[in-house]
Amino acid sequence: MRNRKIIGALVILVMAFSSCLKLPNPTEEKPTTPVKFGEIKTDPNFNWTTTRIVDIEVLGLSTRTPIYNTFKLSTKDKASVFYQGKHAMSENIALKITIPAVLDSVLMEFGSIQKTYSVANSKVTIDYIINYPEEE
Amino acid sequence: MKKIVSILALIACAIQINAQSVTLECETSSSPISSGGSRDAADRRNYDIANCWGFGGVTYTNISPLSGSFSTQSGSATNLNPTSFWIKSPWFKPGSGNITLKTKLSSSSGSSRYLRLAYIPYDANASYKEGTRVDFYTHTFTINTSVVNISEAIPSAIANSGQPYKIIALMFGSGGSSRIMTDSWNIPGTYWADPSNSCYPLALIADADSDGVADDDDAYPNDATKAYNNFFPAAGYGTLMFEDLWPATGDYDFNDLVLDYRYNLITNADNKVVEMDGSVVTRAIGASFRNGFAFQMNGIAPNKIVSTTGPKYHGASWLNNAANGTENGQTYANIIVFDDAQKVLPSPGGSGTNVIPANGRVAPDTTNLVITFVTTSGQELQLSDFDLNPYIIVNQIRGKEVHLPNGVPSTLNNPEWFGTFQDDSKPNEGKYYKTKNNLPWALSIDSSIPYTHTTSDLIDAYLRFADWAQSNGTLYTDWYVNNPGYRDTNKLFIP
Repeated sequence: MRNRKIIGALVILVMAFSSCLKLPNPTEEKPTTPVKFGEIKTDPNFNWTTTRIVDIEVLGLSTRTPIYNTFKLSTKDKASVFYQGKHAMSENIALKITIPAVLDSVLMEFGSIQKTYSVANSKVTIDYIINYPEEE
Repeated sequence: MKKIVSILALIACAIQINAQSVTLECETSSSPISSGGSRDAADRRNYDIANCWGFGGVTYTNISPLSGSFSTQSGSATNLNPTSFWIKSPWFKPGSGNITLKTKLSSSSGSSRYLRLAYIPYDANASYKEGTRVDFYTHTFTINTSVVNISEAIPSAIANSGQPYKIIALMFGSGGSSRIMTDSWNIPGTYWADPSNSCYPLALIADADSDGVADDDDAYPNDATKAYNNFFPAAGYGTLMFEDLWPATGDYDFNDLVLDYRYNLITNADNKVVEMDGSVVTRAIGASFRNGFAFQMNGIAPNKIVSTTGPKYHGASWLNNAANGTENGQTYANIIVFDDAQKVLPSPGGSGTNVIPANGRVAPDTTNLVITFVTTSGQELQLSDFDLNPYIIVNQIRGKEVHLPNGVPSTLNNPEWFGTFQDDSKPNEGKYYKTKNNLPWALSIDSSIPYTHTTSDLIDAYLRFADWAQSNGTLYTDWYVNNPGYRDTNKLFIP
């Protein structure tokens, strides 16, 4: 009987103290900041470039007459042009553009038509349609 | 003499074949995947707006359509102001015959309802180029939901006039709540609007070289063989930095050869690449090796190049170029930009060039390349064909190339170096010029950035680089930008 009490007390003590132990939390683990280049660890697929490639799909708009103009992709301030070429408005176009990895949007121009697209994803679908509010 | 040439002849030819009337059916969706319901109606309206139809207070509906699945409908036409609700056609050149359309009221609620037709002449000085409206027909509805087929002759004043006009339908009335619906418009004439130019009438464009690209967009308005510049980087220069002790790792100062670069792929009006203008600026040499610099055009056969001018050669024994300037013996086109960096950018004395401030500074050297490509029909190159792969040739050993990580070596590279020392290239896995821990021997940055003093570790100079690399490029994507806390300028060679 006395042994049972002792064992019971020990179990309680162990449980109490074990609850105070700080167990390693995987989410708190951070990679050690290397002090030398040679200590850097990266994923095998990391490409070490400051640019990225975005797939552009342009959905042509059927028109009553052939409409040609310059299709252009650039930064919003138009300072950096990533693609430009002459295309029919009805043409479906597939492009790959290389943009700075820091860029989050591109401006599409086709003549007077301008639309801004997010390039957060690696594939962007572009069209010439402007969504007009249905006012009455 | 500067010519004003029109693309209209081509367009007009197509129009005569395809477009002798201007129509509005309300059935074509702007969305490749119709969602159904009101969004579906909005997609169809947006498609017709993109084709230069205009709507004032008019939407599309699939409730009791006049034909097909959708029709236009005004709001409740309870205002006698005729401009409350309207539908405006694109610019067109009227032919002869009758304007036809279907119309009805949405319900039998109301005191009076009218649909009036008018034409709008072109006026270059007016807002939206629209002159004063001229009314020519008014239909008075019987207040019920019967379908009415309107057929009214194009006014003789504008028929076959050769001038651009719009037709406008005005919908108005009083009392009740019924809406005015229309569908199946057919206007005899030639579509004459440009959806890519604010829907203004098709117009002559200034095109001095007649290549079909407007002078305003043409970087070479007087040269029909060229039209567009496509620069990389799109703005400014990029920087290439090499370590040259490969296959052994070095001190990771990445200044054994430092180059800035920019190239321009010039395309013609058919979007074919006709010329590449490249600029390579040799900035620094932090090594004693006599390295060459070259690039491979991955996937492009040497015979696609017509000529190359501008490389700087100093008699390297391994140079062996074809007449078009590409290196012989290569599967893909390789251009040797220079054969010996030490000759291009000689040291002012001491060790290296432009890597130790105390040794003085030599002005960077620029090598300008002009490469022309075949223009034979069916043989031309497109922008998507280009994948440039720069590399150094180490210390005059032709088979010893150092590329950017995973840069595919040229045919003349000696594969026996792979897998020796710290190199962990595995050609069968597509892994090239990386260590076992995936560390590179070369870096490419799409901006011109300062490089390190000799023997200064790159991550001691660029304080966010390691975070960027260890996050696999997700953190500090702007590590190379001169933001506060990003650089230790004491470790950088800044003239």
